[in-house]
Amino acid sequence: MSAATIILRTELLRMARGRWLLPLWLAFLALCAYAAWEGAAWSTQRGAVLAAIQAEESEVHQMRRSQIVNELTPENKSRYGGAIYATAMSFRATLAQGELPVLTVGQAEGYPMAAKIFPFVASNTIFDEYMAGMENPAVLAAGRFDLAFVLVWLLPLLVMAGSVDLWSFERERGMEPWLLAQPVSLARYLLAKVAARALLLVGPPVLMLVALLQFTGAPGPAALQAAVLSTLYGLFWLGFAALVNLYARNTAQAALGCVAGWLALVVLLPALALGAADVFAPPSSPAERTNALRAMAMQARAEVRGQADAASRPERVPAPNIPDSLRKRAVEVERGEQLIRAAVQPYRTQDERRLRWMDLLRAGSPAIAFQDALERLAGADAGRALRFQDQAHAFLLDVRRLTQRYLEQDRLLTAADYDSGMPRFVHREAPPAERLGALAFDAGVIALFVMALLAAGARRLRRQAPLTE
Amino acid sequence: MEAPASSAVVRPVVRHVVIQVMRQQWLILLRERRLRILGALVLAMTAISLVAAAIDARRLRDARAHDAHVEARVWEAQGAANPHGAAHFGRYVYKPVQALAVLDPGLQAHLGGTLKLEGHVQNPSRFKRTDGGAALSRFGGFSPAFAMQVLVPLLIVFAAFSAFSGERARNLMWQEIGAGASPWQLLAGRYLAFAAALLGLLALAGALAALLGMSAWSAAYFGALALMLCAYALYWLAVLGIVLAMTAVTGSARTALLAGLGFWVVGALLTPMLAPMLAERRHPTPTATDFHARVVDEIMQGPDGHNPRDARFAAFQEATLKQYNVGRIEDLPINYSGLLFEYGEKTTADIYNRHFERLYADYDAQAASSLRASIVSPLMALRPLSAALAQSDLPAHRHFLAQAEAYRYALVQALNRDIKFNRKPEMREYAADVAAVTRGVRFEPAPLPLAEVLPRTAAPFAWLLAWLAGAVALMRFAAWRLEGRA
Repeated sequence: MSAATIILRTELLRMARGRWLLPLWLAFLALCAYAAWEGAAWSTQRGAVLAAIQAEESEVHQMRRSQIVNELTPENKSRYGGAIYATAMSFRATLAQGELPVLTVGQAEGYPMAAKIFPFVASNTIFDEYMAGMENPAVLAAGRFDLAFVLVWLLPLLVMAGSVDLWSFERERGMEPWLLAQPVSLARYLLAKVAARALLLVGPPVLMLVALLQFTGAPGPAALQAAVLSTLYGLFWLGFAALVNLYARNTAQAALGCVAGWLALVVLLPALALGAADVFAPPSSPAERTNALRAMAMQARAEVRGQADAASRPERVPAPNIPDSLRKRAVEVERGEQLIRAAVQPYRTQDERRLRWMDLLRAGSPAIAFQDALERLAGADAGRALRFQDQAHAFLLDVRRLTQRYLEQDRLLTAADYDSGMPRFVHREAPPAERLGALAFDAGVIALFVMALLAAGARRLRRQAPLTE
Repeated sequence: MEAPASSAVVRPVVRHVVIQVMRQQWLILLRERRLRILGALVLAMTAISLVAAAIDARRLRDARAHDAHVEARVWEAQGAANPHGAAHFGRYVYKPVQALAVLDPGLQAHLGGTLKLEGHVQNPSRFKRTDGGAALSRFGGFSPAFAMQVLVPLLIVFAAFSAFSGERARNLMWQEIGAGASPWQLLAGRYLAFAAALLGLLALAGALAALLGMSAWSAAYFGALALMLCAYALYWLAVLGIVLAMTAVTGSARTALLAGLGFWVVGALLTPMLAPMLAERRHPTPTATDFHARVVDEIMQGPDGHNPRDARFAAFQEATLKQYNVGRIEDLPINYSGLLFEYGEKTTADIYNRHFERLYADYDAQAASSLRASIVSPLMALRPLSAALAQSDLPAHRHFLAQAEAYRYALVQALNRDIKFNRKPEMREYAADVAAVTRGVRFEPAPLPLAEVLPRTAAPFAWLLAWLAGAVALMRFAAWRLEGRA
C-alpha cells in the first residue's frame, strides 16, 4: 500500500470518527431538501400560472367561435366585431419552464413570462401585464432560498468547515516537523488529505443534489451537468481551503482566511462586478424610454390623422365587411411601429451592451460563473428570457401580417378559422451547441480558478521545499 | 454602618479595574494588525458605498425630475383629445427618492419607482431595478446597510473571538484574575473597549451619511437618523455581547471562532432569507394572474361603464332621471355617458381598493410573522426598523401609492366630469384640451411624517433591547462560569 493510500485511509477514518461530519451532512441535506421543496413549489405555481394564461387564450377563442356559430346574424354583425374582425384576434405567448426549474428561480422574476398579443397593440406594451408580480417585495429582497443558493453560497462553507484544519491542525499540534521528517512530501500529504475531503465533503452533497433532482422529477443530462459543475465548484473551494492552510499558522488563522476568501469571492467581488457594470454599462432608463415611446405614439396618431383628414373620402357604398376605420387604425399602428422601432433602438443597444458586460463579468468569480451555469440549466437565464421576448415580438408581426391579409381581402373570421386557422406561438429553444458553449465557458472559468489555485499552491510548496528535504 | 462605607470604597475600585481592562483591550486592539486592517476595510467599504449610494440617489432624483417634466409635456402634447381616451392613455408619476434611503435602500430595488395611472385600473408600480438582470444580479449590490447589517457583525466575530479564548488570551485572563480582577470586570472592560470602537465607527458612518444628505436636513431627518443609529448601536452591542460570552465560555479560539461564525451564518444569512419565505408560506400571496382575475371578475359582475344601454344600469338611470326631474336621458342637462364613466370609475376604484387592502393585509401578516423570527436573529428586528426610518420599506411605498391613487382618481374624474358637463348630444365625436381640463389636479407626494413611522418602530426596538439584555445576561452567565473555574 502506498504512502498516499495510507494517508488517505487514515484521513477518511479520522473524518468519519469526527463528531462533526454527520451533523454537517444532515444540516446540508436538510437545507438542500428544503430548497428543493421550495423550488418545486415555485415551479408548480409558475406552471399553473402559465397554464392559466394559455387557457385564457383558448377560452377567448372558444367564446368567439360560439358567438359566430350561435349568436351572429347579418343584422347584429357590428355587435360581434371582437369575434369576426381579424383586428381583434387575441393571443398569448408564454415562456415554458426550462429543464430544471427546481434548481433556481434565477432571472425568471426579472423578465416577463408571457405576452398578450393583439394585432393593434403597441409592440412595446405586449409584456406589460406580465411584468409586475404580486410577490411581497420583502420576500424578493430576502432572496429566493433555492438549490442554487445552497450550492453557490453554502456549499463552500460546508467544504471549508471540514477543511479549515486540513494542515493547520498538524501545524498547531506541532506534528508538522514530525510528518515532514517522514519520506513523504508535503504535496503528497496535502493531495491525500484533499482527496479524502473531496470524497466526504464534495461527493455526498453532489450525490444529495442528484438524488433530489431525481426525486423532484428532473432527471436527464441537465441533472448530470449540474452534478459535474457542482463537483468542480466544490473542488475549487477545497483547493482554496488547502491553499489557505499552506499559509496559515494555526486553525483560527486558516478559518479567518477561508471566511475572508468566501466573503471576497461570493459577496464582495460580485457586488464590485455589479458596480462596475453599473458604471461602465448602465441599464437604459425604462421611464425615459416609455416617455419617448408615448411621444412617438402621439406623433404617429397626429401624422396619420392629418393625412386622413387631407384625403378624406366619402364612406364606401356598400359598406365593406370590415369598417374602414380599422384600416385607418392599421395604418396608424404600422406608422407607430416604425417610430417605436427607431425610438427603442438606442435603449435596446444600451441594454444589449450591459448584458454583454454582465456576461463577461461572470468570469470574475467562480461563484458568478456557477450561478450562471445553474440558471442556464434551470432555463431561468437572461438569454432565454430575451430570446422569448424576440420571438414574441416576431409573433406579433406575423399576426399583424395575417391581419393585413384579412383587411385586404375584406374577409371576416369564421368558425373554421377558430377551429384550425389561428396561428399559435411556439417558443424555440437556443441550439444545443449555443447552450453547451455557454455552460462550457462557465465550467472553464471555474476550472481556470482551480488551476490558479494549483499554481499558487505549487509555488508555495516550491518555496517550502528546502524545509521538507 | 460599615457596609455602606465599604461598598462606597469598592465601587471606585471596581470602576478603576474595568477602565484598566478597557484601556488594555484598546491597546491590544490597536496593536493587532489584522484588526486594524479589517476595521479600516469595513469603514472604507461603508464610506465608499455611502458615497456611491449618495451619487446614485442624486442621479435618480435628477432622472425622475426630468422624466416627470417630459411626461407632463407628452400629456400636454395631446392637445384636443377625447377625455376618456386620454384617461386610457394615462399619466406616469415617479416616486420621490428619500434622503435616508442612501443609508438603507431597504426594499427599493424591488418596488419600482414609476406608476402608470389610467382610467378603470390601478396598476402596480413598475420598472424595478432588479428587472432585466443576469446571473450577476442574483448576488445583489453593495449598500451601506449591507455593510452595517452583515459585515460589521462578521467584523465583531473576527475581532472578539480571541478576547478570552486561545492559549495566550486564556493565560492573560487567569493572570488578571489572579491579580484581583473578577471575570465580570474583565468581560465588562473588554466589552466597553470593543463597544467604544464600534460606536466610533457608527458615529463616523452617521456623520458621513448626514453630510451626504445635507440637502434634506430637517428635524425629522436628524430624528430619524438618530433613531437609526441607536438601532444599529443596539444591534452591534447585542452581537458583541453574545460573541464575548461565547469566547469566555469556550476555551479554544477555534471553537469560539466557529461558534461565532455559526451564529453569524444563522443570524445574518439564513434567518433573514428563510423567515420571509416561511411567512409567505403561512400567509400566501396570490399570483398576479389570480389577483387580476379576481378583480376583473368582480368588475365584470357590475355594469359596463362603456355601454349606457347595459341593463344593469337601470336603477342608476332611474335615480338619475328622478334627481334631474326629467323623463328621458335625452332631456338630461348633463351628458349621461360622462355620468356613467364617473359612476363606473368610483365602482372600479372601490373594487381595486378592497382587493389591494386584502393583499396588503397579507403582506402585513407576513411582516409580523417575519418580525417574530427576531427570536432567532436580531437582524430580523433591525431590518424593518432601519428601512422604516429610511422610508424605503413597504408602508412608505404604500403611502406613495395611496397618494398616487388619490391623484389618479381626481384626474380621471376631472376628465369624466368634462364629458358630463361639456359633451352635447349632437356631438358625434368629442374632443377637449385635456391638459387644460386637468391643470388643477396636481401630484405633490409627501413623505410619511416621522410621527406616523414611530409606532411601527416600537416592536423592533423592543426586540433589539431584549437581545441586548439577553447578551448581557449571557455575559453574566459566562462570568459566573469563569468564577466557578477560578
